[in-house]
Amino acid sequence: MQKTLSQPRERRMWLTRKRSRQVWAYAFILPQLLLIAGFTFYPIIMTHVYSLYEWPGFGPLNDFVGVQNYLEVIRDSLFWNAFQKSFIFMAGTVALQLPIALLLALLLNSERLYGRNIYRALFFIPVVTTSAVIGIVMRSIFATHEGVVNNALLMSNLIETPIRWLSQGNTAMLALVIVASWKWMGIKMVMWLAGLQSLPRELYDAAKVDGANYWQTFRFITLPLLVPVGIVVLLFSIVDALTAFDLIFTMTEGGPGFTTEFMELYIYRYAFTTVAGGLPQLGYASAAGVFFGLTVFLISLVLSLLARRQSRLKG
Amino acid sequence: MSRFKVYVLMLTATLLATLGAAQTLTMWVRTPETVDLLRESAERFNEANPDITVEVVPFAADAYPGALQAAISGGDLPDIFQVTNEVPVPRLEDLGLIQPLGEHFSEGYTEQFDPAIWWEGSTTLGGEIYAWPDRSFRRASLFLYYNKDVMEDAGLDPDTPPVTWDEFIEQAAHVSEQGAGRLFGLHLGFTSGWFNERVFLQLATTVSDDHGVPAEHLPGRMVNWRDGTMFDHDEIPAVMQFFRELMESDGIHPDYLNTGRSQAAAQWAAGQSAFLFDGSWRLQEILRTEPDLNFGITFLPSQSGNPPLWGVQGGSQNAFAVASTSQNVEAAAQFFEFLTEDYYPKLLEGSVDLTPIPELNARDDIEAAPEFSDLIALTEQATVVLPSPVMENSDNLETLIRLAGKSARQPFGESVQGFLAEGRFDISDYLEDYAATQQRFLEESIEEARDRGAEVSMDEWLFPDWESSENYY
Repeated sequence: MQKTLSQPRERRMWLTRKRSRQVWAYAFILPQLLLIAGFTFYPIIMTHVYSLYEWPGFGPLNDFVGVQNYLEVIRDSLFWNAFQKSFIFMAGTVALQLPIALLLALLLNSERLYGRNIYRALFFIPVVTTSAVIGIVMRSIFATHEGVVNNALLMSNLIETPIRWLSQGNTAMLALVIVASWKWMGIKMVMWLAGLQSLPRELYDAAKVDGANYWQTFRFITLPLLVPVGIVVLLFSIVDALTAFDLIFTMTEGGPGFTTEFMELYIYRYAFTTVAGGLPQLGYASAAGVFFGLTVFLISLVLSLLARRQSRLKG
Repeated sequence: MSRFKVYVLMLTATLLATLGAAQTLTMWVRTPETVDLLRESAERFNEANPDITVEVVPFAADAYPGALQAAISGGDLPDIFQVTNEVPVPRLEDLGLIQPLGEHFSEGYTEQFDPAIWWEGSTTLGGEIYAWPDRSFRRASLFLYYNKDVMEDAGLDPDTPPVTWDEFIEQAAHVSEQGAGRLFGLHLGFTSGWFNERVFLQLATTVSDDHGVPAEHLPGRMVNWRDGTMFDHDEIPAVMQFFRELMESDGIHPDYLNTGRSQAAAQWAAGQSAFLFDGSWRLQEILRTEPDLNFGITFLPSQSGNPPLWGVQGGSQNAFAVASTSQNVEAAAQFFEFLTEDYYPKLLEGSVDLTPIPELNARDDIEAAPEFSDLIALTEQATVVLPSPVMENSDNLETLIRLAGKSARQPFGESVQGFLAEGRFDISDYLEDYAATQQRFLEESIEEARDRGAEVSMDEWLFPDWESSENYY
């Protein structure tokens, strides 16, 4: 007689084994779940809660103000200043990083380039260098007096008087865009490189047989196939730029004035420092954080959907 | 002996050792100029008291409020910590975060202090001592440091530093011109809002005879106590003009808007500029790190020739309190008494500050640097004891707590840095808004204090007989 699971004993054993597997699966998931709950969901939920209170970050949470903090955030011109500056910085770094990183990746992907692994490592060094150190060093490099950048420009006769790089809003922003793009270029280059190396070889062989030149191959094969990777690189670049903090804090401290005060610095200023001698305003900072977080989330969502759509099309 | 008995004995010995172990006190310090002195005193205290260990934890001044905030919300305050203007003693007591100290001091201990050090709302509440003063309340703020060698090299008389704004601008421009792009007249680190604010407000006190006076216990304000104006800004456009002339004459270091205070001081000491605006607290650092530097210290330049003023009240702005959660309050009081004997004299010897004990300050056997003696003499002239609504009516403590919690969305110090960067020298609209905000804050604070049962009024913030250049008490 053929054994089937309908036999009660066998079925019981199968169920026991299944339950045991499930228990073990949950047991292995549990620590990660607890960590996510404690360090991701709890802070997110509490940020939303704090945003409804007037609260300095200590003492009892009893001054419920509803959406008052959100209304104040919306009314604060410096919030919109920080919001705008964040997006200008993001646009600048994305515009600079993406094409240059792709260009570097194309160069370093060439099998004819001697010592390309060394170059890859060299371009990656800024990524692993501490942002705070870079910020402090760049402050000297972009100094008006005896700064390396000004000295180089003066010696090349490109300028007649030193540029006040970090003492004026526009030039400070430009310096930040340049430094941040350089700092994060390496990781974007690696992402492009991974994309390039995953492209099917046979398409290039077929194109070669058809007589396509390098530019045509790049235009009609490489670029279209790299679009999904490009969207991911774009997503990472945007999120990196919108959440930049340490580099900005050490290089300009958001100044001069509030000209390079991006959202992260704005939130930090209210959450953890005593603005003009008053108490920290964690409730207000949380409202600003929620507002800005939603914006970043929406952008990420749109880009993720785009990436998925491109993957499907590619599939 | 059986193995079991050995284990039991070992366990008992461990438990007894644990019970008899030294009490460990953690002490948070946010004033860099006193950290080393306190740490050295703590080491000597630990040696003399093997059953108590004090660990000094230093903080960067800018990072301290955040650390204190996290410790308070996490219920994890250290045994001893320095209070800040933003979370003053009354607020800490209101939240049940600190405990009284008076009863733990030896009999007669507090009598050796300047009586004004035990100031209601600062170190005491309802006559009970809640905080131990780390120095005298008579503390100066900003001064002009001048590098005599640089002045001499530029053809200026190093013994007659500039007094008025006109003299200052002229000399600073002259040094820059002589320096031909290598050195400059004035340098100052203008990146911290609170520092920028002090520079502007102290300079503003030299413009006319009728003005407000800035004070450490009322940051962001420039109170004219005669008419109750919280931010008397009439003189500030003149200061803006002073900076404009300095910038236009190239008399100021081109990187001052993006240089930190320490870096500016280091560059000045290295001979990059003739003059430096910095705090009195910078003196001991210069004396320690640049012992051969040929320099002098004097008042910030003044438009009228009168010294720039800085308001003080009794008590202590950097006092140490003991957390209510600490089980070591006796040990903390013992440590404070030790510091009185050990650390206070070092404050004078190290040219850091005056102590709160007048007899000690007058002692001849304590040798301080001559520059420190100059600083003390200048401090005497530049600090004025301000009126205190709390002295008139202790209910105003509630008003002060509320007021300390309020801040303008566009803080003065950071805004001024931005205006200078933009080259925007007419800031009258901003000043009007800022002053109106500060006035509103006082009205709201009084209202909120009343809601909490305090019997206070706006009149208690008016002192018609106040003279800005004279001690009120």
